[in-house]
Amino acid sequence: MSITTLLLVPLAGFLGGLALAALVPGSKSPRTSGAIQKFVAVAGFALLFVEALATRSSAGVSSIELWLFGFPLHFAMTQLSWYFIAMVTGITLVTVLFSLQGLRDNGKYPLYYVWLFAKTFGMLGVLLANDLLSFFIMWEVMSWCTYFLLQQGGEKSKRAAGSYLVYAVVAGMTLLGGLMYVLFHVGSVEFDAISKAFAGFGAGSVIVALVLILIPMLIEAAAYPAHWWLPSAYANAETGISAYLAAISTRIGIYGMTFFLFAGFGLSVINIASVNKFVSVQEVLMVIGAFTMVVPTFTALFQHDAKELMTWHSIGQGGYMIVGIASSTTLGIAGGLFHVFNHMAYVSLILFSIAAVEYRTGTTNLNKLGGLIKKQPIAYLGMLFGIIGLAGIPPMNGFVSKWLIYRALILSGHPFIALSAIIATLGTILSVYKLIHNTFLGQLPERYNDVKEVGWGMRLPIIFMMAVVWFTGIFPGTILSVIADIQKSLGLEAIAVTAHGVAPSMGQLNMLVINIVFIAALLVSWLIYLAAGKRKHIGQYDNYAAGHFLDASIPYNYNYDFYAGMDHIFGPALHKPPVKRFEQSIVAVVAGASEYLRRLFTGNVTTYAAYVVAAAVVVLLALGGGR
Amino acid sequence: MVSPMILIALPLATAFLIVLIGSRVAARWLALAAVALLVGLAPFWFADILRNGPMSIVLADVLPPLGIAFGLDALSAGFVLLIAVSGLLVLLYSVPYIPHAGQFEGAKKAETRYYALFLLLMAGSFGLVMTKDIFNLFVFFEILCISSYILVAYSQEERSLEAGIKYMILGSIGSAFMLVAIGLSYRVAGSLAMNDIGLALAAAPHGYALLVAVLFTLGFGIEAAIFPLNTWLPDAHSSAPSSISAVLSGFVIEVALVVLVRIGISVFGTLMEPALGVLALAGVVVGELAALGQKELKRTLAFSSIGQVSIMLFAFSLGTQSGDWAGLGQLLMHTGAKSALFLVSGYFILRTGSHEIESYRGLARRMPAAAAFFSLAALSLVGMPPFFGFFTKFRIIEVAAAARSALGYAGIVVILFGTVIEAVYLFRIVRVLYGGAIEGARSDALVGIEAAAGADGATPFADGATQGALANAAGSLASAATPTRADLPALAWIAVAGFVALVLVGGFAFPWFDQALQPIAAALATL
Repeated sequence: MSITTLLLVPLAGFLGGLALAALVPGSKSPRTSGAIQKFVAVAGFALLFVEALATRSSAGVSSIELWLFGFPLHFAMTQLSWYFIAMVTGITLVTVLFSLQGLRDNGKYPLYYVWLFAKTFGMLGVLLANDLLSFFIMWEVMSWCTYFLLQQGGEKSKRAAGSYLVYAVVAGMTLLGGLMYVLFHVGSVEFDAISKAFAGFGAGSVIVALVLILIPMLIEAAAYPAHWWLPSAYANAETGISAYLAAISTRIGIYGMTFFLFAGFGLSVINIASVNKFVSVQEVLMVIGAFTMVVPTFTALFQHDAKELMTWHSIGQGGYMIVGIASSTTLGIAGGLFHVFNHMAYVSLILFSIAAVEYRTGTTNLNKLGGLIKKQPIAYLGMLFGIIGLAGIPPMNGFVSKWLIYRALILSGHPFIALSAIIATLGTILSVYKLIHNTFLGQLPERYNDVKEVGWGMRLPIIFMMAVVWFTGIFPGTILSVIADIQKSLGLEAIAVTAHGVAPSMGQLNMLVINIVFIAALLVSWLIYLAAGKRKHIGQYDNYAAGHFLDASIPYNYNYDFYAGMDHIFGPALHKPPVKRFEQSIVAVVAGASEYLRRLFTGNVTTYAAYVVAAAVVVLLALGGGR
Repeated sequence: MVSPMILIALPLATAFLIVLIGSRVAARWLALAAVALLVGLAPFWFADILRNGPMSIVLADVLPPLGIAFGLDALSAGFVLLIAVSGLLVLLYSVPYIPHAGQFEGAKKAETRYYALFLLLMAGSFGLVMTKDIFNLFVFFEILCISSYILVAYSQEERSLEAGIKYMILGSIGSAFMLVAIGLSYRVAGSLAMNDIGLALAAAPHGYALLVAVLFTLGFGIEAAIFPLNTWLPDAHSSAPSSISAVLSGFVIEVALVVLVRIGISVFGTLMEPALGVLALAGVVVGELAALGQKELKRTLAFSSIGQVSIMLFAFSLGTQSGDWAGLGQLLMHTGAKSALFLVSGYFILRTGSHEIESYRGLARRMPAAAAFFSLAALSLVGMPPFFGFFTKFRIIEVAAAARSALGYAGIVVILFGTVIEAVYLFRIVRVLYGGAIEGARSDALVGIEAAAGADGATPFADGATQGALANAAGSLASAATPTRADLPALAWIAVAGFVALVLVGGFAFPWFDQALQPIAAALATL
């Protein structure tokens, strides 16, 4: 029953919400209809989360077969899908709770919760699908619902939704091609049958199938050459929705990649799908992952919008997951999967903080913000915790997964990939410093003198996510043990887990010790600071520049155009990279072809009559010439 | 059981009666009553044929080759049902729509002409699917064509007249080709019955048979909108009154296509199949890409019809029964989706007074039901699960893969590519419909007419944040005049809902449709 409940609750939420929206005209009583929608959303998503947690025990045993549309559609709960389902339902609930206050204008987004339900339905369907056809159907449902969810924003976000749709449909059609390829080489869409058949296939067929099926996963995961749709789509959504999208929506692609590499097609595909030691699906994936880590992270450095900066990071962090999982080592897979959770936790935390700032100041422009630390301390702390996690610095959870991934890369003989991971981390640290500095540090612009901290409705989710980020930093074992179960269920070697990290047999890591050392170091430096006693309070206008004293009306604000010097050197390559130019040239070719073909229809009847005669002659010659 | 000849006799008789009476109210009700009667009868013929096999009808006891032979089998009975139901829904839509479609002198009187011609068009379609001899085929083809030429030009606007004339010129070229082909066939067979001609052509020299086949296929292919003979279509389908666009795209080109395929299989054997397959794929590429470049809604939809018909033709040209089956599924889906799209766009044009997509910005707030119907039909056309379009497209690709030929694989690539393009241009329209502020709120007579009908009353329309910027540009008109909700009138709503229901039910009850299409597909390969 559990699988049915997980699919039916969001579907009912979607259909019920639509019916409600049709019956209660929002324009007449936006307050009432908004309140009803919020209540239904909270109740529905809370129910889903509880149900998801409760079904842990059924993972690996429970499956159902639905006869829908004349096809048997199979859904099953596995350890891997349970892990993602718990994350999807959990973060959706937190986002919904946050957006109760955080969504600034309910009237403007009348169907926001409705499409959130629909999108959740699609995601859970993909996660539960247990044959290739169900996977494809739910994949399409998910893509279209993402499109409609993105539509719920302003004009800019609608335009971004349009470009998302193009990528999503390309992904969907590639997946359909892959499905057909598998269907006609194996004769079945059942994963068991496919695994058995693939085990006996040569490298060529398996590589074609894997490439056709992994391309859509990589597009959804916004991996390097196919990442351009994401920043505009996510950054232009309402910030609460951005958090949800960046935190989990993209990661369905990571799920798909893990699933098709290690579960759906059997464990042997990754070994079969290689030409030689250097050219294989696995190595290509790792190179894609490396590019995904480095390029978007450095692009983030030069963003002047907080949300846009974070969406670039959300792409870049996906690169760590891709290299970890594609390394197909115990530590790498564990690190990659753990990174999905960590990223979800800290990225939603940072975006919640940004949303809190935007809620009060009305902007996310990093050139205009600054000095809000005393005005919005909770938001500041939230962002601080988040960026420590994002940069992979102890004591937060991001450190653990990155440590696992670095170790896996080095041990599996990928020094250059490991190097690019470290370079990407450098970029991350630089850009998150820009983020927190330009938002909370420096001088407070006068127009923000009246800014207050946000209400508890938004504060509590921030505090809760802070707790999650730190708790899983001290006790990574809570999540890693779930991942160990996943590895066991897939037939891989499971990571040896302790409550505070990794057991000595796999390279010891004890986060409790690290936390204690870290806190002790903080304590010592604070004591030194106190003991030195050289403290002096300075007002924010007490500043000077090159010996010239500025008067109070001119704050010495170096927030504007942060990293301008670096931007000057690296910017040209990153703002209009080859990928973007490639995308534009495809668009240009299609538009040109369209224009050319459109002109075939001249509107001139004489020309049209000539076409008919020409067609008759050509067809006659073509068919008659054959004999 | 009533003889199926009533399918031709009743519309013809009603058409004459309508012209004789000359009252437009009587014309509406007579036409509706006649078609409703046929809709009521059609399922019984269909059921009867599934039980007892095909029936053949001989007029006035004169046997072929001298007499006129008609036949009703699973294929024609299926099409009779489809034509009758679509015809009824479109007639329902015409009742509120047609008074606004023609703004010329004497338009009220011309309305009786509209219904008479509409019935003639239906009679021609029924005749086309039922006839068994090639000369009657020609006669019904002409009835269908001539009535549609006039209907396309119904509104008497410059562009409709021009489109009607172009359509007529090309249609006449097609008729001439056909007539030559018929003459050549009669020369070898000495008979007009299709069976005899098939046998005679099989025995004739290859070159002779080929010439007949090519002339016939191209002649008929003009009406069936095969690339590159479909040049008349974008003009005609976009300039006709929307009810007629819906009929032309909804079943007229499909009927022509299926009759052509059927005769192609039974009379010419496999002579034309490879050529048709290549032309079909070219048609998909040209139709979809040309649709992408359009700025007018109905032109976009017309080019999309070219692409869709080519997809069906591709399925038929694979030459397998499962290919025919898949093509028929796509055909049924297209009838539902494209008719709904054209009918809805008729009211978009009426409400805004413009054909341009850009001028429909924010129209969804004034016409929520219409915009929702448009989106649903578009989703099906693109092939999103669980709509009908997904399953039919899936089946076509499956069949193409099973063909294991170069053409089949090329077809898969082309269809998948076409789907991407289709999604782009259809959802660009949806985005405009649901887009920000409305541009140039139209305050003239048409809105006034509907304001009276719009019992919902005034719905506040201003949307502070999005409209703020535009308020200056669009003038105070947009924000001050609080545009009223002016959705589809009841009868048009029912008609569109009927077509949308087909694509929804088609998805959820796909196995049932699949089953129902199987005997029809089997009948396609026999005469």
